[in-house]
Amino acid sequence: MTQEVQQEKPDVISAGAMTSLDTIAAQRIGIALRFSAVMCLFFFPLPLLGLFTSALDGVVVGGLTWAWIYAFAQFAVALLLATRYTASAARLDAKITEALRQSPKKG
Amino acid sequence: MDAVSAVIFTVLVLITLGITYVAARRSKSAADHFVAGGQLSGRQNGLAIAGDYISAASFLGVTGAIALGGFNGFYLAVFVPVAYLLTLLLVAEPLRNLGRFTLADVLAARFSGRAVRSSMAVTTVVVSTVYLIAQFVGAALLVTALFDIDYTAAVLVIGGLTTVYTLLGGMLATSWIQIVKTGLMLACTVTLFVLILNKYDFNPLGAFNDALHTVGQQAVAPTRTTALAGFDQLSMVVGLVLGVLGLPHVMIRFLTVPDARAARSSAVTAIWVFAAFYLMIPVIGYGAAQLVGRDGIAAKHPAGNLAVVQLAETLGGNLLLAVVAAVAFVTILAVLSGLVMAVSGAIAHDLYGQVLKRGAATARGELTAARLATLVTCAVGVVIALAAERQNIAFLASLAFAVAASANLPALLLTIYWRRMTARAVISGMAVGLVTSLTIILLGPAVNGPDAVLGFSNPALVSLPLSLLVSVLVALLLPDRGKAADTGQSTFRALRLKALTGVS
Repeated sequence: MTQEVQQEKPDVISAGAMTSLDTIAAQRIGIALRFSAVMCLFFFPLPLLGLFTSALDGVVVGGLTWAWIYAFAQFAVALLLATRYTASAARLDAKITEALRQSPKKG
Repeated sequence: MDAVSAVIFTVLVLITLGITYVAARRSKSAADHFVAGGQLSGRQNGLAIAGDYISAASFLGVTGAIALGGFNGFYLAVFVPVAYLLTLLLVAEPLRNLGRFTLADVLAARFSGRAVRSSMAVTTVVVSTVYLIAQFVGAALLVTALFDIDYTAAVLVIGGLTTVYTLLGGMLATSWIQIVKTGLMLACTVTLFVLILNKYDFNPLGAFNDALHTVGQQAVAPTRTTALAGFDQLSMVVGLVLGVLGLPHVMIRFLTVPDARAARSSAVTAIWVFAAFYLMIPVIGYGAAQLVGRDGIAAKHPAGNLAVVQLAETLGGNLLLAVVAAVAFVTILAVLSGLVMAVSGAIAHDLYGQVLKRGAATARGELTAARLATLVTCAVGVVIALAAERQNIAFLASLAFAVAASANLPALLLTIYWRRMTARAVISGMAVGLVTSLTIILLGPAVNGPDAVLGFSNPALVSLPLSLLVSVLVALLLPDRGKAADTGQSTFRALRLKALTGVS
C-alpha cells in the first residue's frame, strides 16, 4: 500500500475545510446510495414479475400490457433520478467551492 | 452491393477516415492517444458513450428479438438506462477524479502494489478481448449478410479499418466516430419510427395493437417457460445491469472529460440518448413483424438480426436499405474501436508502463507501447474471428458482462467506498469472480448443449454474490495490521475525499 493519493494533498486546506469536505463526501455517498436503492427497487420487480408471475400480462390499452408500461416507466424514473441527482451534485459542488474558498483564511 | 449502397458505404467510410486523419494530426501525447487529452465536453462524451455502448446487437438484435419474441426481447434493452443511472451515481465521478488512462488507475490510487494493478489489467484484457471477439465475429457475419461478401473479406475489412482508426487516431478518432455514429443511428431510427407511425395513422400504439390482434397476447406480454429458464434470464438481466459498471471500454470514456461535472453531464446525456433510442425500438420491432412478417424475418436470420434491414427495404426501398446497412457497419466499427482502446490502454499503460517498467516508462515509450498493443489487439481479433466463424459467440458476450460484473465491479466499488477493503481482498474477489463466471459458462448449456452439467448459462446471479462475499470475508478475516493498517486508513480517507469531491 502507498499514500499516492495522500501525497497529492496540498497543505493549504485547513482542518475546518477538511471537516467540511468530509461531510460533503458523506452527503454525496448518502444521496448516491438512496437514489441507487430507489432505482434498483423500481427496476428489479420488472424481471421478477415478468419471468415468474403473470402479474404484468394484462392488456391495458391498445395492445399495451402492464409489462410494457412498467418497462417504459423505467426510462422516466431513470431520467428523473438523473436530473435530481445532477441538481443535488451541483449544490454539493457549490459547497466544495465555498469550503475551499474559506480554507486559506482559516488555515 | 448495388451502386447506391456502394456510394453511401464509401462516403461513410471516407468520413470516418477523415476524422481519423484530423485526430492523428492533433494526437501528440500518450494522454491524447488514451483519453483524447481529457478535453471532450460532457455532451460530446455522452454521445460517444451512447455510440460506444449501442452495438449492432442493440441496433439490430433487440429489434429482431422484439419482432420474433415480443416483450421478452425488450429485457435486452430496458436495463440500459438503469445501468447508466447507477454508473452516474456510483462510479462516473470517482472514476474521473481518480483515474488517468485506465480502470486499474482507480484501484492503484489506493493499492499501489503491482499485483492489484496487474489483476485489473488482466481482467480488462480478458473482458474486452472476449467482448471484442464476440463483436468481431458477430459483425463479420452481419456484414457478410448485409453486403453479400465473403466472411474472410468482411473480417479483414473490419479489422483493417478498426486498426487504422485506433492506431492513427487513438481515442480522439474513436470518440468522434462514436459521436457521428450516434447521430446517424438516431437519424435512421427516427426515420424508421416515423415511417411506421405513418402506416398506423401516427398512433404510437398501432403496432402494439396490430401485434395483439394478429399474433395474440403472447406477442405483447412477458412469456415464461420453466423456473430454471426464468432464473437464467434473471441472471442475464442482473449481469447486464451490473456488468455495464465494470465494462472497461465503457468506463474509460469517463476519463476523456476534464472534470467530475463533465463526467456527470456525460452520463445524463447518454441516458437521454438511450431513452430516445430504446423507446422507439419496440414500435420498430412490432412494425417489422407486421410489415415484413415473422416468417420472412426468421427465414433471413433465425434470431431476427436482419429485421431492421428488411424493414428498411420494405419502407424505403434500396436507398433506405443502403443507408441502414451502412450505419450498421459504422456502428460495428465504433464499438470495436472502443474495445481496442480499452485493451491497448491496459497493456501499454498498466502492464508495460506501470508493472513491467515500474512507472518509469517515458510518455513516448508508453505511446509506442500503446500503438504496438493496438496493432497486436487488432491482429489477434482478426485471427480469432477468422477461426471462430462457426462458433457459438453468445456465450462470449455473456462471459464479458459476467466477468465485468463479478470481477471488476466489486473491486471498484469496495475500493472506492469501503474503508476496510484490502489489496488481497481485491485480488481474491477478482480471481473468484473470473474463475466462477468462466466455470459456469463452460459447464452450462451455451457451450455443452441440453446435456450440460448445469442447467443455466448466465453466471452473474451466482458469481457476483460469490465474488462480493469472498472480497468482504478476506477483508474482514485477513485485515492489514500495524503500520500498514494505519497507512491504509489515511490513504483511504484521502482517496475518498478525492473521489467524491475532486480535492486532493
